[in-house]
Amino acid sequence: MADKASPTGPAACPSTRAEPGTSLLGVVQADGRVHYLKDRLEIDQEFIDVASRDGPLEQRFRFAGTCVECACKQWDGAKCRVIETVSSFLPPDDDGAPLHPCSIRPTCRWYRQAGPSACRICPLVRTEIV
Amino acid sequence: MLFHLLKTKSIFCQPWEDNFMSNTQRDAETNRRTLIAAVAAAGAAVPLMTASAKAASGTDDDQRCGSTGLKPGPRFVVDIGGVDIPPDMAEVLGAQIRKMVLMTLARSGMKVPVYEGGLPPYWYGLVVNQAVMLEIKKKEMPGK
Repeated sequence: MADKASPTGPAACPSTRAEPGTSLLGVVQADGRVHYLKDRLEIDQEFIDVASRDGPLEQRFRFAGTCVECACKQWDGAKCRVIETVSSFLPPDDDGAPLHPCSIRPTCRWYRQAGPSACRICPLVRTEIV
Repeated sequence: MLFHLLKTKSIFCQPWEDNFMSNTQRDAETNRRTLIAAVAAAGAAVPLMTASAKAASGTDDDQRCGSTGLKPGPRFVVDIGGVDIPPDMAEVLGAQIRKMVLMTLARSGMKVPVYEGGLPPYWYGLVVNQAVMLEIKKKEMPGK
């Protein structure tokens, strides 16, 4: 799918690793979905230290940072493969429901590539270490 | 604080930002600084931190950020009304509130088993929560 937003500046990765300076994008809740913060909240080392006590951060939270493109294994040279892959799990048509609040949507890499359909599957995505 | 927050647009909910900007002129005229530090939640425990020259109006989340279809979570508002405080103190207050929200969220995350090792370098692995996905598919395609 073509880019939905005119790329201005670097894109934001909606599922980056927890590192000081990245933003807390959302929290995985009991229903298994990610629930999103409406505004950017930058994390620091103290957040990482405290939140790490109950398990791997990336499985319980989602973090946003700058898309590093070719420095990431998910980058195919022109786009992020993740959203293409996960989008194939859901019907392509949108149901017209309002999108959830999101602090990075205007610059989100996935949104740029797949538009609102990326936002519909995004709450189901989390990092898993197996 | 007022001017500092104007520079840090990212902490604003967009519709509020519009309100904020439109009130800047009025704020300058009255020479009042009003700080509203709000912590809001949408869905479950989602914080909102914002500041505005406009007093808290009780506007609900749906009006500000669009309907999400999710049950709104708790919302906490600290409103110091027309009290004038030095910008540097207001900045510290904002940072403290932001920090408290962050640490509360850090402690609120679900507990999951700890795996040794963590993500390999340069790997940003992701998976889809298949259990939730299957539920959605059942609802959207009941005949299949």
